[in-house]
Order: sequence, then structure tokens, then C-alpha cells
Amino acid sequence: MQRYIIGRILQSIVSIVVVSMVVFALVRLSGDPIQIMMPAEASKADIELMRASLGLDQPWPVQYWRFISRVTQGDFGKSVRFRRPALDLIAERYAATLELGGLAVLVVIAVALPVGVYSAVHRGGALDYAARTFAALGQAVPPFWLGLVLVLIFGVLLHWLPTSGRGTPLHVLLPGVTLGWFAVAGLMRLTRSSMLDVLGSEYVKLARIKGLPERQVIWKHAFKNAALPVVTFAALLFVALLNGSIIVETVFGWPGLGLLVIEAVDSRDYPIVQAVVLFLSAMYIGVNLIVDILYAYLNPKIRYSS
Amino acid sequence: MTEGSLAVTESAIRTPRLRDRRWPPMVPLVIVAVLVLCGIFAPVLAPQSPVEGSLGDRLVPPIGMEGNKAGHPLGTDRLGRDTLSRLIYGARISLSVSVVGITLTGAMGSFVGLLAGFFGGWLETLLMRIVDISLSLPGILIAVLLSVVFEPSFTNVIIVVVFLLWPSYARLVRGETLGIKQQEFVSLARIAGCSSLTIMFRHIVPNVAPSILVLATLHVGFVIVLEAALSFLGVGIPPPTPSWGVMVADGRGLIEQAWWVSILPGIAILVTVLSLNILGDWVRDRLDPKLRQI
Repeated sequence: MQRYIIGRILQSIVSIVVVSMVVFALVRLSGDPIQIMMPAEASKADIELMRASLGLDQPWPVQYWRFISRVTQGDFGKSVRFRRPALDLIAERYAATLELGGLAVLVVIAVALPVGVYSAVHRGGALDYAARTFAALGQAVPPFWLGLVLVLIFGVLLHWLPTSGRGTPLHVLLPGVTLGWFAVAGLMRLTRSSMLDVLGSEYVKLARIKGLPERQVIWKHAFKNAALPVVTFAALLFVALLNGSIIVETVFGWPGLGLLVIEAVDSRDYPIVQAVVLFLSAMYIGVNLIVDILYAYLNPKIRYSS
Repeated sequence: MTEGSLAVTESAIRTPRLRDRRWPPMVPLVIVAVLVLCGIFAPVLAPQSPVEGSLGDRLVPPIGMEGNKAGHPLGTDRLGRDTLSRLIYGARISLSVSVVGITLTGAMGSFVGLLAGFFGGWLETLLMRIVDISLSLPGILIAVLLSVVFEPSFTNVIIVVVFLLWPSYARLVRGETLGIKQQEFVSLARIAGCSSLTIMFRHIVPNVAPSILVLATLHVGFVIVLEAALSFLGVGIPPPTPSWGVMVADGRGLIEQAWWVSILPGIAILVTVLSLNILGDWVRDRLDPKLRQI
């Protein structure tokens, strides 16, 4: 168990180092930053002076080392467009992304778990059929398009909800639902199959034979055992939402990290792209690590091995 | 034990359905066939040019709505380009991204898995570590980064597809190879004097091929949505190429006056991916039911 955890931590560190190298190399490959910074009439000597003062005349490994040591001190460079430190911008936008993700997680759990359990218990019924159709649709609908459909229905046709920006609590509804939709389908399918698995087991039969009320059999005996794969999925969900938020924030003009990075791509604001990619990747890898460790604790097969 | 009892109930319920499943589901099959035809014969089938519009025909609504013009059954976009023609050409993009992307990633991932499973030892450890690391990198962010460094292009999309999917082929093929390696025909081939290369490609690959095919079919829908999403974000196929994702993005700001510009290509994606997923499930059930978890 300990060996497993230490191995996983080491692997995550390697992953982060790989990401940082990829980011560093790609940004360097994209061209000479001096060309962008200096005015066209600058003399050769000035350019060389600037290059030396920024350390860009050093070999790549040296430059990479400097880059890494600055990043570990929280210095991600300055935005070309906003002329502000990248980290400040990230800190500003981070709350918006979390708010959106939080609502999406609520939507997912509130819809997917009860419906998944219900459709397993009433297998073959009308709601089960509807839920499975919904799940199949949910996995085929492109999220960016669903967002536009919701804007069309609730914003343009019905005038019920605001369709862009952030402000009142109403603003978060459409993007939150769009972001959650895709994950609802997956979690619902998983809850259903996991419940079906457990409902066919001997201990659930025993609970029924004992004459326990059905509600108690389902929630106390079956659901508790079905929850293990669901818990780990719910955590992975967070990672999926992080990816999805880039798309959803773009559709709804939601001022979070995803929109920040897409805007930075449009305006060629390299330091911001670099910083957001590094930041989100680190989060992504970190959450993956926590999920795996959690899973190892919950799953005796891993806990007692090695 | 729970798995055993579940398998019994599942198979009891599935028996009548499995018999129907000898033939592929017809509706999705027809849809995908039409789509492939559209992709191949786009220049013949499309009534208009997909990239040139006439400014006099801007934002013409689809047939049945007030203001529709002859020759534009699905309306036009803000540059007067015919939606139907763009959709037909878009099928070409979606299909070529999935065919090229999945072929490359399948070949690469499977080869890595084959090497790891067949030779074992430090090579296996090394390759599987790389797989683990690759799985833990966020794909869409890498796509964003690539598009900043190199201009958005078809190649970028393919790189992202390969990057995201190769680990699943490597894992699958490694697992299967480990099992097949133990079987007698492999030892017999070895005794008969076959080289490692011959054993790998003549004896193991044909046995793994059905599983690879199943995984590839299940990935087609995913790749189409991925391409559309990247193109929508402006980091995939660059405009004016009529990718479905680009078309949805084009109509974003027009949703109030001209919903059809972005809604119609979205429906094309939805119907295509749904059909492909249903067909993928069918192929899996026919060829390799033990992959059901994927």
C-alpha cells in the first residue's frame, strides 16, 4: 500500500515535470520572443543586450532551469495584453471556474444518483428506458452545441435566463447545466450498472428474505455497496469538468480560467497560455493522484497487495 | 460471486436480444453509409461551393421558413455560403480526422502494447510508465498549446487524437498479448524456429486484431466530437474549411437572428455520433463481448 502510494506520487511528479518541459519547449519553438518585444527599428546591439539581460542567450537546459525556479516561486511571467503578472489573473478568474464547476457537480449528483438507483431498481420500466435514452443522447451531444441550444430556448425564445457573463445567481444556471449534462450521462450509467450488480447479490436477497422494508434494502444494503465505483468516478468527474469548462466558458462568456486561456490564444498572449496550462495541468495531475490514493484506501484488493 | 450471478442473469435476459443482433441495427448503418458516401463524393453531391458564398444570399433561412430561396434547402450563413453544401463537405473532415487519427493512434498504441506484452522485463516497465504518464496529461490543454505554437491545422488535430488515445490501445494489446503468449501455439511456433518478429506479427497480431477493431469502432464517435470541439474553440481545423465544429462556432453570435447556422451542424454531429456509438456497441457485442466495460 505504502509502496503503491509512493510510486504514484513519484509518477505524478514526473508527469508535472514532463508537462513543464513540453510547455517550455513548445513556447520556445514558437519563435524568438525578442522579435515580438523589441520595436522594428532596434539595432542589433540593442537586441543582443536585451537577449542577454533576459538570459535568452543561455543554452536551453539553463533557460529551463531558470524557468522552473521562477515558477516554483510563483512567478509565471507577465501577460503581454494586460501587462499584469499571470498569477494575479489566474487568481482572479479561478473563483469563477470553481463556482461553475461546483454547480455542475451538484447538478450531476442530484440527478445522476437518484435516477441511476431508480432505473436499476425498476429495470425495464418506463423511467429506466427514458434514462437510458437520455444517457445515450448525453454521450453523443457535443457540449458546446448543447450550450447554444439552451441559449436559444431559455434566452432567445423564452427570455427566462441571461445567456452570457457572470453576475446574478441566475447567470450560472445555463453554463452549470451544460457543463453537468455530459457527466450526468456517465455517472447515471455507472450507478445503474453498479446497483444492478449489487441487487443480484446474496446479501440483498437475504435482506429481502428477512422482510426488511424495500427502502431500507435499497439504500442501506444495496446502495452503500454500490457506491464504491461511484465515489471514484465522482472524483474523476472533477477532472472531466475541468476540461469541459474550457468549452462551456467560451460558449457562455463565463469569465473563468478556460475563457482566459482561449482569449490568450486569440491574442497570442504566450505567458498567460503557458501559466494557465501549467496551473490547470498541475491541478489535473493532483486530482488524479488523490483519486487513485482514495481508491486504494477504499478498495481492499489494492490495500492488501504488495 | 456477485459477478458470477450477475453474468447468469444478464445472459438470461440477453439471450433473445443477442439473436437479433446478428444483423447490425439498420437505421444507424444507413446513416453512417450515407455519411461515408457524402464524404467521398462531396464535390459531386454538394449543390454549391462550400467556401464561396454570394453576399446577396446572406442568412437565408431553411426551406419552409419565410424568406427561403431556391437552391438553399438548409439556408445559408453570414457569408451567404450554402449550409447543405458545407455540411456535406464537413462529413469529409469528420471522417478523415477519425480514419487518419484512429489508424495512426491504433497502430502506434498497439505496437507499443505488443512490444511491452511480448518482451516483458524492463521494456514493459518503461513503456507502461510512459503510458501512465501520458494518461495523466490533460489533452485539451495540450491542444490549446499546440495551436498557439503552430497555427491550427489538420495535423494538430491528428496529434491531439493520437496523444489522447494511444494509451488505451497500448494497455489493451499488452493485456491480450500477455494471455496469448502463454498459449501452446506460441511455444510450438518458437520450437518450429520462428523468430520473435514472426511470432509477434504472424501469430499474435491476428489474435489481438478483433479487440483492436472493437476499440477503434468505439472511438470514432469520440474523435468526431473532439475534432468539432477543438475546431469550435479555434484550435482545431481552421476556417474557412467547413468542419462541423467551425460551422457551429460561426453561428454562435447569430443565434438570435439565424439559429440554423449553428443548430443544423450540431444536429449532424449528434446524429452521426449516436449512430456510430450504436454501431460500435453492436460490433463489440458481436466480436468481443468481454470488452463490455469499455
